[in-house]
Amino acid sequence: MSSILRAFSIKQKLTMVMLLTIFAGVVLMGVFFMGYERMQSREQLVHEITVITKVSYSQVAAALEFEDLNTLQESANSLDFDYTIDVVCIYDGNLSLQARSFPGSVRATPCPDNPHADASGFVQGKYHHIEDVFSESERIGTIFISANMDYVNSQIQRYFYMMLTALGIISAVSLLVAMVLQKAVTTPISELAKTATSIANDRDFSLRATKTSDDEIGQMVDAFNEMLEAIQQRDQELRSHKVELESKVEERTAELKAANQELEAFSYSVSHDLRSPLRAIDGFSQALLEDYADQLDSPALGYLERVRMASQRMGTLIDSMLWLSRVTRQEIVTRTVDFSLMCEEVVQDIQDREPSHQVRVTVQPGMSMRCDSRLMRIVVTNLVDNAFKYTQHVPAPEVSIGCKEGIYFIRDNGAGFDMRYADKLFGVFQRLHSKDEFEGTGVGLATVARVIQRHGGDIWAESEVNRGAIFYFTVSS
Amino acid sequence: MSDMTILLVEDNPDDELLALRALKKSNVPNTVVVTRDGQEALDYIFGEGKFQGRDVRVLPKVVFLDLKLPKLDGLEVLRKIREDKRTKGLPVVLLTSSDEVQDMQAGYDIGVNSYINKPVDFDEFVSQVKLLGQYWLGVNCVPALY
Repeated sequence: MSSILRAFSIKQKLTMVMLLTIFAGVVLMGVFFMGYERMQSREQLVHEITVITKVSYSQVAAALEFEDLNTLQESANSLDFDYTIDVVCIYDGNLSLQARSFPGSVRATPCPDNPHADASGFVQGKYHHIEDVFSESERIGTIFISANMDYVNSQIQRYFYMMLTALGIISAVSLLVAMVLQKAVTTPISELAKTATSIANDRDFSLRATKTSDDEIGQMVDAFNEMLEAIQQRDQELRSHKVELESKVEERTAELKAANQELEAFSYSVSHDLRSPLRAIDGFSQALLEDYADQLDSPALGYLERVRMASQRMGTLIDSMLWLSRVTRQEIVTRTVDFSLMCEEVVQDIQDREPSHQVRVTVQPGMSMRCDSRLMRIVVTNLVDNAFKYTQHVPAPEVSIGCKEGIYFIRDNGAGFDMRYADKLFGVFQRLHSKDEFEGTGVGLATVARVIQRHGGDIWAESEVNRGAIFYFTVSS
Repeated sequence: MSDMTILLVEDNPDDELLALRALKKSNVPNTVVVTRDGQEALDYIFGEGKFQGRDVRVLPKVVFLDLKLPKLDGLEVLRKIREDKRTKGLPVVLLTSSDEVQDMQAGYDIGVNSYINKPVDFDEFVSQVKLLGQYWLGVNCVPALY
């Protein structure tokens, strides 16, 4: 029912409700009146027959007493006053039929053998009136009158047609009235709906619904407009925030771009300009060493060697710094990489480079990773390099690479580090060992951390001095 | 002009001196012409400016070109060399401190023959220059006249 009603507009629903109400009212009233009329007509019939019987009673009594059949027949004829009466039968004391009368000749309704078979009243669409005739309390005869319901029925039928006509006229009139009246209700609602739709379509929150009445719809319009006011205000706030935010983002982007450009220019300049004087320092020191060795004593030669070592070391530092800045700037291209294979290749390279330092390396097979393979190779190279470096002084150096629950690790049994300085591990130029102990620039782990960070991952380490170190890292999936 | 001329384009006197020293130590017979900026290098090659009247048919065997140069930088010099019909095949080696990818890419895009990143370690530099000299002056062949 509700799903059928759903498709109709309020206008149609209202019209329908009005029509149905009126329809139901008229039908109910018609039924009530028809019932009343039927009762009335029956009562009247009973009354008429009772009265006429009473009037004829004494005549019939006399005729029965004197067995005057002619008078009896007359009485019967007078009782048969119109077509409502089917038949009038007059019996004597022994219930043998003495007179019979019926209207016209066609409707010959027979008299019952025993008039007392039924009591007075309505039987099977007929009215039976049975009146015993007494003479000094002795029953000397019986009057039996059977009346039909034709008149009553025709009366009811007339009422029925009247009701139908009234229903038609009232429906037509009320439809007209409903169509006019429903506008008073539906117009404000349609207006409201129209406003709401156009707001939903155009997102113009400055529109307002027009209030045309003070009823519930009027209240709804007020509430709707208040709501719009709030939305409009919020919308404006949102817009202004958005503009503000956009300009802020633009500003920050510009700043970032400028900073990046500066960094790029800086590293470019470092690459070009900073190395040149170093080369001069190294080159001319070498020239001195080669051309004037005989004029210098051994401390002087030693100092020159130190100058060369220092400049070369600075060259390495500059290279490392450039390397780090490039890792930071380089675009990341991720794909699924056979991490086990990569580790094995890196280990092989490092072992080839340092054949004298034999390390037992185990790489867990079947590891794969989504990452930028070039950058990840830097990570692995640095970590394996470190593991090799810090196991230099261990009698049986061991390195193992694996992955457990998405956490990759590289473990060695080398020098390790003091966990108190763990936070300095990944800082640029931070070193936990002196150059005499282990060579290094302090850029390697910073580069590693940068790469992991750019992969959305984390890196941390656990160690105990002289008991090895484990480096853990993750990459975002 | 000798057949074994190297045109060295270098604005930094230190680098120039070191390069000359390295070339001398390389034991490759050569003559080095040094120009201090990009314009001077082009003037030499095309016989203009203070090199007016130079027989431009005789070209150096190889040009050692620095990237950062006053007036015209190395890449512009290289472009001018490649644009000219007479010199588009002239061997040019970029000899620079930069190991920036963008510089290398730009060099190769314009058609450099070789790109060398000068190391800080002088011994290494000497061995590089030696290789370069042996290769470009000894091994590599160019037509007599372009």
